Amino acid sequence: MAPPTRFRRRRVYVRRKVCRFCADKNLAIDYKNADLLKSFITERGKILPKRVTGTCAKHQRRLTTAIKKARIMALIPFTSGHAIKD
Amino acid sequence: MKLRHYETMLLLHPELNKEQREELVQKYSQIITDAGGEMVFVDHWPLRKLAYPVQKLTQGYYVVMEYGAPGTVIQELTRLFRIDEGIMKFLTDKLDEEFDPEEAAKRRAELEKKSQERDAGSEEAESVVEEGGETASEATAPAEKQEETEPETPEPQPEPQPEPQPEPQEEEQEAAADDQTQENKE
Repeated sequence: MAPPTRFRRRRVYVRRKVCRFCADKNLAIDYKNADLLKSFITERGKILPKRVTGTCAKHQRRLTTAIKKARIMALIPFTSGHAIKD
Repeated sequence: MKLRHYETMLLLHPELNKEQREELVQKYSQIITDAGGEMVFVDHWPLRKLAYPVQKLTQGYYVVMEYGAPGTVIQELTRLFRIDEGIMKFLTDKLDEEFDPEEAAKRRAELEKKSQERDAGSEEAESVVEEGGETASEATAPAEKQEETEPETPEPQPEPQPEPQPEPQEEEQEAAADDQTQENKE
């Protein structure tokens, strides 16, 4: 990030994040869509908070359950520890 | 009897051949239809790498079955899934409280089209995987990189009207967050 300016106390322009699922109504939250879910977990497999991804509360709730279902079905890892490296 | 709309995903043993897999699915479809349910769609996924080993195996076949069935069948299915050696994992999801056969027919057409498109695309990919695992891992590597950057740069959105005053509340929150990070550094 750029150094803060004197006028705006330590705050640089941050682009307002928009929920991807609100922006694209056709984008369904589905536990079978592992590629999509992968963009909402960290490298270690943790679920990213909505403050990072910008997902709205409603979709974050659904996303969380979808990620957990996908983990159960071995579509995405629980953690990177026992994941199969490829 | 009242039907509910369900979806079951099975993870099948990688050593089952095509006929065995189809036979297995057929067996469960039979149970569903016998109980007065209705199959919507069965989707056989190509052999896929698992995210973590299951029964010490690293690959498996996924099958997604969508159907309408009375709730009591689910118990029976679950019991049988547990017994079946060919099924390594399974997950049943209730899609809807009500099952509408007309809507199901529409959905079937849609899903069939989708899976055909996918099969056409994946046939090549599958043959590559069989030749050597290395090419497959190369294909997945860029996806992981993307995962890191994506959350920070959300999709380009239609530029909002320039707000002369950003919402004050948000500003405060952000500033507070900044404070926190500052503290953490110290």
